[in-house]
Amino acid sequence: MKKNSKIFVYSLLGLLLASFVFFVFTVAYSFHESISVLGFKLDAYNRTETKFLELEATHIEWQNIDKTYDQFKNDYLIRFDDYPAFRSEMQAVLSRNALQLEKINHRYRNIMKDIRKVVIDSRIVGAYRNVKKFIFEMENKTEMVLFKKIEMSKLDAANVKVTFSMEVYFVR
Amino acid sequence: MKMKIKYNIAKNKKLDTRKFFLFCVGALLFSVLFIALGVNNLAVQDKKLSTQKKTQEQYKTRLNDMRKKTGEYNEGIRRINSMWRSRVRLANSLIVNKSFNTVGKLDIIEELLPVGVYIKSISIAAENKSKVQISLVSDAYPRLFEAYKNFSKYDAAILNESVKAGIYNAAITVILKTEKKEEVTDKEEIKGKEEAKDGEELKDKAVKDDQVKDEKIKDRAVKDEPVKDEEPQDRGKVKDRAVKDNAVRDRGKAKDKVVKEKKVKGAKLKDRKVKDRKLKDREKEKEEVKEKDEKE
Repeated sequence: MKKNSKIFVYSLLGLLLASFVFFVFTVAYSFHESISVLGFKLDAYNRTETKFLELEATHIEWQNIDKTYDQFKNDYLIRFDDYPAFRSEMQAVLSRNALQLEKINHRYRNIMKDIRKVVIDSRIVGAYRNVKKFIFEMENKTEMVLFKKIEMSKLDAANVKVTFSMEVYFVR
Repeated sequence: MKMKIKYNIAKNKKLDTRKFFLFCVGALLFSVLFIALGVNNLAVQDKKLSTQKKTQEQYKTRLNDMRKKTGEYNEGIRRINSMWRSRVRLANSLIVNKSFNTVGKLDIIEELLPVGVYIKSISIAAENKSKVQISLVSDAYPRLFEAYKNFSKYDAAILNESVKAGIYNAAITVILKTEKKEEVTDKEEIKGKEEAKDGEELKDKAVKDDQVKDEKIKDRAVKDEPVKDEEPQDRGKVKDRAVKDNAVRDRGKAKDKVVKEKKVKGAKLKDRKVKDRKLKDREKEKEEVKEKDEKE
């Protein structure tokens, strides 16, 4: 074999080896990159996005707080103009349940510019089951009628004496 | 005939041109193939990477945007909150207080009250959230103790206990968590609830009326009850009291025991009679209620 031919053969083998090494390198590179791409913190991003969306929703809620508050007032607070009606209704509930009103005291408090609280301290006498019915009826009103304190004690064989403090919230 | 003699005097073998050509072509082809595959790999990867980079950049932009907005939103919320704080706090406290369920607490107390133990007074305050103070009366300590046991499910704390003329008085506090789960809006539900309550209330009435009758009998029954040797020293600890009672009983003389047993038997017989009366009364009550309902 001539010397030139030998050089040619070695060059060809070198080229073949180099191309093979290049090919192996590209395969390894692709694999490594795909791993690093998969390793992108997508979970962390998703978590951040979820938190952000929650915050956004909260922000929207807070921006609409005036509407929500107005709705709350309309739905759950009694108009102060209706206070006489509320008193007569309470009286009607007492009468319906054969409860005797011994004492009643109304205290008025302005707790907000637009909200007024009336604390009704009262003492009633009647059968236990009727008292319970009265409490149930008053407590389950949609409006903000809250029993703050109830003290029940036995008066005689058939009746109990109940002293209670009730708060009713009105909107002007 | 002439003979031809051939000599190969070359230093190296003669090349097989065909094989050599094939080897070169093969090596070149493989080299080109490897290079082409490698380039293709790189191209595909580059494409992927560029797409991914674009996406990541989008994510990064969005993240930056979110961070920016998070600050803005937090600031906004803080600002609105400072303006509305008192009103929102009031509304929230009202909503929480609205969930307070007095009737539910009374229902639980009634369920837990054993026969022969009566309630003297109940105090429920919304400020104390779920704490309810109850004064109990009973003519026999075991019954009162049963009440303690029943109420112990609700973190009962015995405040005091006293015995006067054989009547046991006790004040306890229990924690009854009976917040309304959700606002009842359906009328039928309310109606159903009321009906259920009515049923329970009628039952309560029967029990209450029994109490009245019992009280008339109580004086006699109490007199016939076994005499309690001592007043409980440790009023707070029910367990100690029970142990003490057992010790007192063990120490007692045989004669006293016999006498006591007789008395207990007498009391039990009376209790049975009272119970029979109660049952009859209840049945009568139920019949009356049914008749009333039918009329209605």
